[in-house]
Amino acid sequence: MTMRTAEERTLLLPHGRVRPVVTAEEWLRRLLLLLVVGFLLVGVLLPLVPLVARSLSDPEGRFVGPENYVRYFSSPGLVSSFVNSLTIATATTLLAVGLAFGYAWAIARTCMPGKGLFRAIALLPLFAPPLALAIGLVYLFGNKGLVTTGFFGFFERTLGLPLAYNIHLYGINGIILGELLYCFPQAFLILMVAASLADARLYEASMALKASPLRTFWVVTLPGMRYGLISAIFVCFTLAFTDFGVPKVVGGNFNVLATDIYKQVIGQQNFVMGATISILLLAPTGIAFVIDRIAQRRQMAVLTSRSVPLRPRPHRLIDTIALVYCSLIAAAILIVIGAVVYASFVDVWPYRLGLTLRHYDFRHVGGGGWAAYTNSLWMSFYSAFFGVTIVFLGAYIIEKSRTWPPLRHFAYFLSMISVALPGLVIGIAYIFFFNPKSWTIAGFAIPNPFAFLYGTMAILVLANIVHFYTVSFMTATTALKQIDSEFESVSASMRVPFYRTFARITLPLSLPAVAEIAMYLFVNSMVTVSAVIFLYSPQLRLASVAIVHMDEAGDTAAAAAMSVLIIAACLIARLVYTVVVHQLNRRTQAWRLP
Amino acid sequence: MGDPPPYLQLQQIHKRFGKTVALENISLDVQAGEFLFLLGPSGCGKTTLLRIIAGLEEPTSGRIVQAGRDVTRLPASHRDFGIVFQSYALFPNLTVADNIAYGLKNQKLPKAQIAARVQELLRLVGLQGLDRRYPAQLSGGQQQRVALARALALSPGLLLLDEPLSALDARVRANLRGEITALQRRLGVTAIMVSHDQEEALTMADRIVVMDHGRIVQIGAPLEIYQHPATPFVADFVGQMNFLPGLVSGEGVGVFRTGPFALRVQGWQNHLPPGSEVMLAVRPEELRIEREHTGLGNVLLTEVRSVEFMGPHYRLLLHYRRHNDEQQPVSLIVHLPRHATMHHDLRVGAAVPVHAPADALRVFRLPPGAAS
Ligand SMILES: Nc1ncnc2c1ncn2[C@@H]1O[C@H](COP(=O)(O)OP(=O)(O)OP(=O)(O)O)[C@@H](O)[C@H]1O
Ligand SMILES: [Mg+2]
Repeated sequence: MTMRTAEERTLLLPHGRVRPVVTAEEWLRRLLLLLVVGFLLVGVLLPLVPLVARSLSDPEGRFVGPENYVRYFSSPGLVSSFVNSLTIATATTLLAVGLAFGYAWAIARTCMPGKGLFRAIALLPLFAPPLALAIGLVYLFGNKGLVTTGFFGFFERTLGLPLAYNIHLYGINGIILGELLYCFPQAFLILMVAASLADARLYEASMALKASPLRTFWVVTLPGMRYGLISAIFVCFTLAFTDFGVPKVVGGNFNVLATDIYKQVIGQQNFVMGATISILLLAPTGIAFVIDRIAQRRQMAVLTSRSVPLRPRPHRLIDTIALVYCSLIAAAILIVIGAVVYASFVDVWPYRLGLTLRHYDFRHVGGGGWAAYTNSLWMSFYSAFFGVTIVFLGAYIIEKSRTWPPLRHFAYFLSMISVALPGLVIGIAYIFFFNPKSWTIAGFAIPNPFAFLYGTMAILVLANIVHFYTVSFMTATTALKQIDSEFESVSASMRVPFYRTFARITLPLSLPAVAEIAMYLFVNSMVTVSAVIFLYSPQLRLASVAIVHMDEAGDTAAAAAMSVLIIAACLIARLVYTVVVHQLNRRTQAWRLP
Repeated sequence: MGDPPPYLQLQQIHKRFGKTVALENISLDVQAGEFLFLLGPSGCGKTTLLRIIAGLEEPTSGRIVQAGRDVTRLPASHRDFGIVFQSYALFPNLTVADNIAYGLKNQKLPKAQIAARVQELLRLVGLQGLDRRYPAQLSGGQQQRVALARALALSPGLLLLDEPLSALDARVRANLRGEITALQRRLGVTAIMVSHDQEEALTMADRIVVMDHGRIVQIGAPLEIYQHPATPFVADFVGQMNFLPGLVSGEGVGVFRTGPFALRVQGWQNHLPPGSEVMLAVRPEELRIEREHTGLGNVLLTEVRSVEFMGPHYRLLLHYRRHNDEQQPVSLIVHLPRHATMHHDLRVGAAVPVHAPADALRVFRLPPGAAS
């Protein structure tokens, strides 16, 4: 009985490093990881290669080094755009983060009434294309705008007061106003989270030490929201620096990088200069991204202990100030969006103010009309569906498996960097990467296996998924981190394959996050212009692009109507999301914590 | 034919995480049906070792044989074990019954058979009638019982438990201790449990493996470890221990001095040169307070520092000086039964003679360089 077989004896020899047997299940995980990495390589990293290469070549494709950049910076017209973009981004960031900080603080830390409503209104601009916000500004402050004309001369006629006021919208004023509307909800979202994370114990300690409210604000509130502030600044700066929609509509002669790229590529077919400016567009956002990552890594160390949520206390004066402040901002948002909706129904602004639906009949304007709208709906649906699938599987394999650590870290890195890529850069990079029938690498022509995607729905969907990958990925990762990491261990001990546990446990537990990601992808694909404006084909027009074309052609009312349609689709998506999550919560009430 | 082969053999297991060495040269045999404890302070590598045994973590080098089969390179899904975690790790969206049946369903057994097995397991852990509940609707102790039933569902040859009781409150913990031991005996399953609670290990284990800094320091039955700790670390970690700095005396084999007092240690064989420094060790409950200083051997004359009421006994903190001008006197803890206190003057500052029986004293040689 105790005699050992020869085989067993050889097994008893001590051996070196242990290499685990690779099972079929492990191969499946590897395959999944490879697919995710492959997707991210093709979607994020590889398209940047020809973009950089183009910026270093002449129009014939010969390598010229930094010549294009030298040319750019020695052309005063172009350099001024760079400075303009920086100015716009800085001003917008200061205003948006400052205003949103107060707004978030008022909602999180005071007892003013109507918090839910204020919250909803602050988020409203997220459901509108930035173009629509700019069009709203045009109807208010443009040459024939409501304010510019003093309510169409109403005050002049009735009261004899010259209450007309021209803010000189077209140019820097209009751009900053528009970007402010566009960035405000983004900053608000981030700061709201930061403000809600406050630890009541710190405030109690500060009060016990008899610190004045002002001192408490400096010593406790601000440091506590530090990382939220850094994040908000990063997001706003990137958005305002790279946005295309607002300057396109209200920029006038005030050039910025984003509109320059559009003019170079679409207007002059100068791809080399387009690539060069794209890299310049990428540089500041890249730097902002790195700073933000470093800051967020620090935060991990701070947020270890569990904090006690803060309950605001009523305070007459502060609550009143907060209410007035939030009401003013909310009113501003509602008025701009209201102007778009109203204008889309007005017969001839500002002469015949009767209401009509004729602007919704797009047959006599360019842009693609209802077909473009339907295309956008489908594109957004596909982006949501395929996007959430890829994002969630990617986050799952990175977070919950132990397969190939270096490759998983690489996949994580790729998942995080897409947020630093402005839509315009994605669009141009995709042209260079997907359009050629073959790539020339070191003198060799290699057939492009992805060329078939060019001009199809697929490339639009791909661009959207990549454009909005990082935020979706972080939502998925956060949800997965909240699931006990030992579920995989327990399942393995019961010899249940990982995919069964994924389907039976992990996915059901993550459904709210899945719904949130799908909603986020749908809404953003619906409103975005920058990535898709270079990629749509004449057979496949899009609603947001149609707004650009209608506005260019002077059909502003039609552009307003299309904006309203987009806003409606986004709000419906949001409504569906709310209902779904509500149903989910009701169905799963029994097993969630009592 | 000799002893049956061990159920589980660990041979020279090493584990590194980057530069940190988590486990160093772990070799260990576990007999079939044995209840083995891995005991040690936080971060000593207990969990890592358990996960390596389970195949959830691979060792850097070494070898594991389970039931005569080399499983070193096999992943967890190809081994034979059930596991219980401190966090319970119950699937929150499945009922108690579905949690327990999770592995059974995957085996494609007939429905009726699964249901019968689930009922049997529920009875086993005393949770009949709760099968339709969700984990969130159970108390911590009940949840851990479900986790136990789930781990036993596939009748594994090896049951692994990683601090299963440490998230529970004291009373529930005490109950579950007894139940887990009884269950393990009844099923005859080989079990390995991780703990940093020495009391838990002493009451539940057949054998205890004491670990420190990724190494095994001592293996033995609870009583053996308690009575004959191999090192001062074990002595201190398992139970309480007084350490008295001493010198080898020239007055005969087994006689030591600590300050002015001579202590004889029974069974001390080692011949150290007189004057060598050693550490004498004695447990608080083994020390006895004398009524008066009789001048007999093995008595230390001490002074009372404090007296604490502990319920069943008093905890006396005493000290004595080795020289009159010693800055830091040697401290000593004595456990005194409640009824015994009435015979003594235990006010702070009172002089108390303490008897350290020769058969209760242990001697640890100081490692070279540790002498101060
Ligand atoms: N995945 C890991 N990566 C890096 N280091 C690790 C990892 N897991 C464990 N360690 C390190 O290995 C050592 C042993 O850890 P282990 O979790 O096994 O300790 P433990 O004895 O279970 O402690 P505790 O009682 O706190 O649970 C520790 O120093 C720990 O920091
Ligand atoms: Mg542990």
